[in-house]
Amino acid sequence: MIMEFIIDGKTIKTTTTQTILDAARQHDIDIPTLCYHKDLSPSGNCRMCVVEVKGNRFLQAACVTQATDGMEIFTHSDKVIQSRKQSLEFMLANHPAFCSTCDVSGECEVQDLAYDYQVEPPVWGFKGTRYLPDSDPNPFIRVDLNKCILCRRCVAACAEIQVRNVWGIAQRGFAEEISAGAGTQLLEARCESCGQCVAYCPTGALSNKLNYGMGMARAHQIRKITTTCAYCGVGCQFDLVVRRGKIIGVTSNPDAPVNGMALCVKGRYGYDYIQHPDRLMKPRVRRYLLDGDAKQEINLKDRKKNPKMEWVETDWDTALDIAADKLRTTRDTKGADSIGILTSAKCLNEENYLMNKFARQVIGTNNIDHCARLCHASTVAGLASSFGSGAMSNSMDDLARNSALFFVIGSNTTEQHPVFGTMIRRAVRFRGAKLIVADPRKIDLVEFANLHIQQKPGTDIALLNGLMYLILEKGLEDKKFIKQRTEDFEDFKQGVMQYTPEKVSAITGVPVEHLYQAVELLTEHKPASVIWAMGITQHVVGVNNVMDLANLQMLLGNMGVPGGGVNPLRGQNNVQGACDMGGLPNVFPGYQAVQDDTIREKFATAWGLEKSSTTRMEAKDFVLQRFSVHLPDEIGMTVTEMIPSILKDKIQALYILGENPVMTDPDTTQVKKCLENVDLLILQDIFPTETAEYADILLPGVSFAEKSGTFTNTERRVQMVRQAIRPIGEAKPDWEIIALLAMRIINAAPERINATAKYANWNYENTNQIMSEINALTPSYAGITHERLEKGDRLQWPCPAPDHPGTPILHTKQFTRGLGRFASVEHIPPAELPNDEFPMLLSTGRVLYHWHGGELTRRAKALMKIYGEALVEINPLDAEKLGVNGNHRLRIASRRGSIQAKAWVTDRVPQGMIYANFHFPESSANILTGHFLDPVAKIPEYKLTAVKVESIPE
Amino acid sequence: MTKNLAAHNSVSAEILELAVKHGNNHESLLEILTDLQRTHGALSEEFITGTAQALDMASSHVYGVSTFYSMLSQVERKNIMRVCDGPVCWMNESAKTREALEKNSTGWSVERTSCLGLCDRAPAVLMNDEQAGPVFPEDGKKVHQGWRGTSADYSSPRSGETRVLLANIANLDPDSIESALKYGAYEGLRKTLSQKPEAVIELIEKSGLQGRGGAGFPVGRKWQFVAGAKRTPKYILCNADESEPLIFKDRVLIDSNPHQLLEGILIAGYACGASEAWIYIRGEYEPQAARLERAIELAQQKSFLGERILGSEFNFNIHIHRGAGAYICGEETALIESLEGKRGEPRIRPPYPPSYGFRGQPTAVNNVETLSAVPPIVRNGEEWWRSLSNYTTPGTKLYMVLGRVKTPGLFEAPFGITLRQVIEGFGGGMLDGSKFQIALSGGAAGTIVNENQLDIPLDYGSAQKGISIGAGSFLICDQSVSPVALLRELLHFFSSESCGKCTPCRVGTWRAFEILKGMAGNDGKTGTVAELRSISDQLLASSFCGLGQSVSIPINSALKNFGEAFVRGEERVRS
Repeated sequence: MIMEFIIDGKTIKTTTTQTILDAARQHDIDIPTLCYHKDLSPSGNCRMCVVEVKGNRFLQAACVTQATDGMEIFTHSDKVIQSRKQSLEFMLANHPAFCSTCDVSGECEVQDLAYDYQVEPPVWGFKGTRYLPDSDPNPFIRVDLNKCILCRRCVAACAEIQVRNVWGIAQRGFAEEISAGAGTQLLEARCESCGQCVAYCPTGALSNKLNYGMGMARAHQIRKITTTCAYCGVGCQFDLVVRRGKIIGVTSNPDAPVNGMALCVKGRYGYDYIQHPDRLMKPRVRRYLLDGDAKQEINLKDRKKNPKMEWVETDWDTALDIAADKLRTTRDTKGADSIGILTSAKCLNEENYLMNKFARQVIGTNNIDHCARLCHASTVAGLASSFGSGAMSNSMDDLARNSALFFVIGSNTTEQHPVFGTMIRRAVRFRGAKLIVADPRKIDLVEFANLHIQQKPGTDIALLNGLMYLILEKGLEDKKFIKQRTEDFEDFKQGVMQYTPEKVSAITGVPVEHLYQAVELLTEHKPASVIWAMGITQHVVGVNNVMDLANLQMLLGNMGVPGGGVNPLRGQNNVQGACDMGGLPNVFPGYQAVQDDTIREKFATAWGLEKSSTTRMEAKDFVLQRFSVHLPDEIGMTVTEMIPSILKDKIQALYILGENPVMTDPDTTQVKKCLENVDLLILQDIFPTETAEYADILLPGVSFAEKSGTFTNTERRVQMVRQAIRPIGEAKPDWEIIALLAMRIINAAPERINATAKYANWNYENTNQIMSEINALTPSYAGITHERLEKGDRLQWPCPAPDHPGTPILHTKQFTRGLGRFASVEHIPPAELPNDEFPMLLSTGRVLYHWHGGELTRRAKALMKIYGEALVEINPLDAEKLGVNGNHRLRIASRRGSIQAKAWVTDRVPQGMIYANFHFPESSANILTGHFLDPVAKIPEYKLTAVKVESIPE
Repeated sequence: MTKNLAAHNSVSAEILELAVKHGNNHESLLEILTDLQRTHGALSEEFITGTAQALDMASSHVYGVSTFYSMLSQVERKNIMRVCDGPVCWMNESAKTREALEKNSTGWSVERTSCLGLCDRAPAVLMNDEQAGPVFPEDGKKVHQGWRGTSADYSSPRSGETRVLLANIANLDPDSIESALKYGAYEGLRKTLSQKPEAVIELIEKSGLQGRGGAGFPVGRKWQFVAGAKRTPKYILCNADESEPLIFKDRVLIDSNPHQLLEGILIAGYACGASEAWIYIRGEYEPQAARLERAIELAQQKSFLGERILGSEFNFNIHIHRGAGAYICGEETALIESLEGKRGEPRIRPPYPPSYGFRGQPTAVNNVETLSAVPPIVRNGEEWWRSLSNYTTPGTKLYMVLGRVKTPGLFEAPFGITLRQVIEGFGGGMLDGSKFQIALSGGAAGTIVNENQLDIPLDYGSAQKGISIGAGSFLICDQSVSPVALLRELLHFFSSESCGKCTPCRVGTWRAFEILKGMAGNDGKTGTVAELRSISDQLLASSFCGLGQSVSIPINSALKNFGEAFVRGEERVRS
């Protein structure tokens, strides 16, 4: 039905039902607004957008009034202008216009409109301040209610974007104010410190404490650079704000593809580590290296006091010369495979590509790995086996819009992938999507769940098989999908039918009733998506866990459709990219197998190496055949194999980029022992981390703010990372360092490589060029270029051609391997179960405010203020038995070591289980964890360790 | 993540029981908070978070509700004397009463409160839930010890009254259903059930019945909208919030003939295709709420409510829901919000309640007097109703004449009477020594008029001629009352009752109050007549709801009819 209405004399014909405001804006007619924001439900309270409608004695708020057929609208009549002026004057009446000292002067929407309408604060306005400026003690958000105009955007943002409902409206009339929780402080009211309220606040009422007084809003004095967050795999984008060459803060960018204006506390408030004084400014080498001594001759017993082990700051040439020389001689005398390379899930795709090239072309080994080994190695292996591709099949916005049900298992989404967690909350609260949370802990997300399955740790296969048993028993499997798109179903079915509800309940501790409820939900709500993280992957049966999830989704026919799929949430900002770029011992970039002759030939030709043979290169052969260098054809070692192998003299040198194994690998004592004994450890990082203690050479790299390139997030989306400030001190972008090192090694023996080969050399001028090389050698990334990304193309791999739009959903017509493969998997008990001596079960993980080994977030002021020491979660009943109460400290011991930490008594953990994190070196959970690996993926079982817990007397 | 080191987040048994008692859903919130307030005297943080948990709501939401309503507080006040500051009580120096009570207040807090709807017992006081008045300063001690004064007696009609809604109240026992039946209760319902709903609506439309809350919207048309709505269930809401200053007719109707109201709601329900009704009654009318609950129980026992009413297929239930002190909840969408367990803030309109009302369903909201008029109309027919008045608007109206007249109080009469007739006829004439100066007609949001408006026939159209009928109340002031002070009192009311959501009303009413305080000589705040006018224009043009819009009526009429007094006020402030 066509409607016709007139705005300011302009006739508009349309069939769309819309508000006067939307219609006006679409036709470039400006109507001022304050309380309105396109992301939030309109409130209509500020009255700035009032317009005159012919025939109506009252002015109408354009943001909430539908434009109807025959309406005649005047947006700037005298009556309207007068009303807007009056409204502004009213707002300024209790808003002390200290614009000269206000932090948002220049970015304040009330100030803008007061200027447009030439309104000054009235003389009769409220004198003095009604409220305490800076009235809330939390470390992040500055609350100054004197500047509040009660637009209610903060309330709406907290309710509709974050779905946390911290902010509310209290009191009535002139006394009305925004308030948190039951009239308490923000943190008491369960504030997650995401800062969305600050982002949506049009005035300085809610602002950031971290950069208060630094001129964030002085548009003519700052630069804003849009970039991608370097914390987690959601891949939020935001603007880094730079003033006088320094980063002074982070602001939301409404055009961010994944997150819009939303961010989490780390992304928004955890950036100050970038400019922390601990930053490595110059290369450092141990004195013994400068003296030309051999490491074996140094007494390492008291390494800290030994003057030979003193760190000496030096210039790049010296450091790189020593590093290159050492690596080259190790390669030449002990064999390429005596060297291990750890690349970084935090560094750029381009840098990870270079590390893969360094390992394979320069050194000649497949011993390259990174911390994906510790988190999603089981996902990559499991899904590769089931579907042929180890990546998240769907996209976050797809799930948010289309999943009828979310099955979240082993993922504490709202604390680990916070912005995606809020997307799930929104889908559940506002779209009626269903949510099943399967987790031994009562995590935050359970608040929104229709069903919380609290399975015992390590019993996921029994649980999943139990669900699938019931689905099959009721005949509710998707028979068509199974027939057309899968294989090996019958074998699988036979195995599953052993898992009766009673048997499953006995193993998992889950009441039979919950199994039936879960199956009812799963079968009545399609498409359902499965979402997982460490709770599934970090087990000795991690690969089997993942394959069982693949089984479930094939059984229900939820694969290859919007809203469905297998959705592992990758942890690091670029762990997906590090894997994609061949930072793994068994594949080149794009998951092209090292054992595939054709693939090896392709890379050999590109990199200027001879066509490879299938024979293993021994050290002596190497010397003899130095003119025919081959790409190694044996799968290399994983990081969880490399480090222990040091004690067997297999790995003798390590080149580590942006990783901190001392904090992140299991059994810290053992890790330290191994690293102590390695001949050479070159560590390239931005801080002297805990691992740096064992390094011989420290090369200062840069943070994400000091270089440009790309990251790939968990949904395979490649996004630009843009340099905002110059590298700190003498630090260099990591890709430059890798290239300088590579060139030195190559130039020492240039005959090894055919310099005319297209991609043989390393003289890159920028990461753009590296990307072009990646395009040429990696089919799934072939069409992803910096140019396209800068143009605004939103690309998810596979993107095999320059005009290909990218691939939001995988496996739509067929799986990467053709048919999906059902795998029959059995419940196997975990490696280390509690016993009499170690009667409690330790699970490990992260908290919202800190990141992994803590080397970044422990150097972020505000994050340390809110969470300055490790807390161990312990159930109230267990606490009572131990005599622990509130502030008590605990001693926790395992077979491998012990730690002390403060107790957090909470019912998040069930009885018999405690939960610790690995953010603080003195209380790191990894001192307790053991080196129990999944046999295929080699991922450690972080989720289960047997411990004993005692209360430490005060 | 909260670092809440408390082990358990268990909710107290008391709150859980209250939740169950009141329906265990979000709509139970206000009543749970009121019960907690009554028992404990204050709503602590613990009660707020406990209630939030029990009802699965955000603490911020519950806190927002607990700070919105005047009868709830965070500060302890176990026993409370609420002294009315409405226009009549003000004229009767209730401020002095308050001072006296403060001296006799052991174990009690004393508070000033907006019009209690006890204008015929001014100065009035609410002693916890008990209505008391008239309470003069010398009665302070008595009232503290339990004395409650006397209610007005309306059993004998004044000369000239036409009693329809008030018929038989001399003989009716309001707590006895047998008594009500004797005088024709539920005969209208019986007649209704034998017809089709459409026929009932047609009858009401033909009768010309207009809403009695003040807006005068044709009732039949409203019911037609609801009846025509496809979605079910549908609801009837009876607006018994009666918080407009000077208005107390609904209280009298409930106190004198509760079954008449229930019957009217039943007929409305049948006509509209509704299955359930709520009477939203202001929290200050506890005795009236209790009376209605008793009447409902009796009606249920006699099968006038519940399932298969009078053997028909018609099922219907009526519930009572108490407010907690907020004038804005008389606005129909704010009433609905309050009923749904939220702050009483008006909604964006459209959509209007007949298409999207309570719980998002089609809803008819009608005033107590409106619904009370329905049974007589159904019993006697539309012709009869029209015949009662020989003015354009048919039927009768309940009027209240208050202030400096000899016989103030409530009476029932047709439309078309004049202010002069109200004063000299029904009101018994001005008191000795009092010369008529000002009348506030319609309610607080009514017109402030002088002798020029004495002879204009009053009905829903008379506002155009300068005097509005509103809800039918007339405050008659003599030479001792300053129009500036009167308007100041009204703006005090509006600024304390503004919900605060929109800028014009939240700040405009507060500023207008300040200007008037200054002009009335109170505290030196400066302000001009021009500014008052400008605020009034803004309130009318851009307020979010009718409350803000209607504040312009008394301001504009006062400035028009008593302009000089305001100019003098402005000059006084300036000098």
